[in-house]
Order: sequence, then structure tokens, then C-alpha cells
Amino acid sequence: MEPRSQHPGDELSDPVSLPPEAWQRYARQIGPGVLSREAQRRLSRATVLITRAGGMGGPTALALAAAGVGRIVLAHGGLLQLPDLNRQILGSEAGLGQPRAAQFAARLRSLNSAVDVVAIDHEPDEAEAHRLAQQADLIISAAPNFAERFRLNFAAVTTGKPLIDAAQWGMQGSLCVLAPGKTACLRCLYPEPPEFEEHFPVLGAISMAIGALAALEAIKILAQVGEPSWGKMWIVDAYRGHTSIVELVRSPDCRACGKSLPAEPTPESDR
Amino acid sequence: MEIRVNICGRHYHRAEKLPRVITVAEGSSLDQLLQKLQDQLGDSPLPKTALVILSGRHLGTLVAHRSAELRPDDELTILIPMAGG
Repeated sequence: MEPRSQHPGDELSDPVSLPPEAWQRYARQIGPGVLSREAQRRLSRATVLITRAGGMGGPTALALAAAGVGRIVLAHGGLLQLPDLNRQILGSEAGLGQPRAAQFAARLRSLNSAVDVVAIDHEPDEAEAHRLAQQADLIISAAPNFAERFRLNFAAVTTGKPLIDAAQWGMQGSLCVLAPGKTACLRCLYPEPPEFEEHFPVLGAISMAIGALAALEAIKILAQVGEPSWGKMWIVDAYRGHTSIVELVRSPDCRACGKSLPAEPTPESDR
Repeated sequence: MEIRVNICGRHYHRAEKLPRVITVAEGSSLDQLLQKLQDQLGDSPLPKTALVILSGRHLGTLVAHRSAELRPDDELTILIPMAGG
């Protein structure tokens, strides 16, 4: 039985877009200060592209599937390895040595069979990132290198889709909530590609914390509730118990979203 | 005046020995504080791509940032870019 609406105007919108069992499943998240029924329907119609679905992207995907996002597209290449299991919670010991994307997708389907989960067993190149971004309502970037992050950022800029960029190291993490063309983009922050290492120390708990925050921001944007942190970066320093929120400044000379320059693909030299 | 300093992000542990508060003269600039910070870090310079954030204001990177005059109780955050995975 669909619960009575607690949000004025809900009765006027499509009352049959979700089956009765869906309203039962999402009953605890529908109410004042959380989601209206219309907001829940918006989530069910939304598509989110997540690349990758490891330490941070995995918990994000899990939270989005639990919340009832309609379609989740996961892109993650490679085989699951033992050191992944300190943070890649969509994996399992049974899946060691197996492709990550397929088992991560299966885990999401086992949590919520109503969600359409698409597994892509590789990291998208520029053309594929652009195509996938066009089909998505929002992009979550949780990649281990800046070349991939810049590729997703450029796809977000050229398609006008919101981008949530999640990052981590050790016991710290950051989250940027970006609206291309309106706020700073990732290239505004990093005109030059920063150094990074593919293998770095990280505690799964910070991955999950940042991943959960990314899911919260995505839900607010897709469901059109609350106040998304547009144009802001959250810095979570769990090592010292300190958090901060930074208002990001757009660069007029940005190579991706700058007004004075035509947007350019990320050059090979940045990869 | 005293300025609180946070160094966050990649290899944040390398800055653990730095004082959390740095004293500078009244009217000092952000660049003077950054130079003082670099001097204290010695052989482990901060990367040029690190973000410079002063009391919640994003000013750019270490190599290209807006100038600012420091005020009492300012907090400087240097974020060394992180990725993920």
C-alpha cells in the first residue's frame, strides 16, 4: 500500500510510476526533510555513471542502489585482488581473481533488483566517456588517476552534466560538487596535472565516508531536494578530526570550461 | 599575529612536524607565509599543484594564486591533490 503523501502537490503527479512494493521499500526515506514521493520518482527515473566503483565509487553505488536510483552504469576494469578488499566493498573473497565490474554489478542487483545496473569492464576512453555522459543525468568520478578524472570532467563540461569528484589518500578525502558552465570545473582547480601514485595507502573507512557523501550529494541533485553543495569542495581530514568546506573559484582561462578558449580534449601529455 | 595552518591531502604525514600555528608580522602577505612554510619544510617542498585556501577562500595553486593580505585568525589550508581508487 502506497503511504499517504506528506508533501503537498504529490497527489497531482504520476501516482502509478512505481509499484506498491517500491513504496514499501522506500518508506523510511519518504517524509518531511527527506524525500517526497515525487522526489522518489525522480530518483527512479535517473541514470548515474560511476567510474570507478572501487573504494569510493562502490559505496556510492551501494547507497544509490539502496535509495532507488533507476539506472546505475558502473565502469571498472581489471580483476579483483586481495589488497582491494580493505575498501572495495562491492567485492568479496569469492570474487578474487574475477572481473570487478560484473561482480560489483551483481552485488548491487542483489541489494535492489529494481535498479537497472549496467557493468562496463573497462575505463571509458574520451569518446565513450562522452557517450556515457550524454546518457547519464549525473557523473561520479572516483578514478585513481588524473587523466581519467580530467576525461570525465571534460565529458561533464561538453554534455553539461553535473560531476561529483571524489578523492582520497590515507585517512583524508575530498569531494567536489560541480555544475559545468556554472561553477568551477576540475580543470579550473588543476590547470596542470598533479602528481599521483597508482598505489597509495588508504583506509576503507575514509573511502566509504567520502563515497557516502558523494551519494548524498547525488541524491539531492537528482531528487531535487535539499541544497546541493554546488561549486564547493569538502575536505575531510579524518586523521586530525578536521573538516572544511571551500567555495571553489572558476577560472576564466580554464582549458576545459574557460570562456575565452574553446574547450579542448585533454592532451596525451597529461595522461 | 597567529595563522593556523593545515596541510592536507597526499603525503599529509610529511607535514606532521610542522607547527599548527605560525606567527607572522602584522600586515604580512600570503606569499610571505607560504615562503615561511616552505622554509620549514626544507627538503620536502610542497608540490606546485597544491591548492591554496585561505579561510575557506580558494585562491588557486601554489604556483598560480591570487595574492592576499593576512588577517588575525586566518586559517591557511594547503591541499595536495588526491586521486582515488
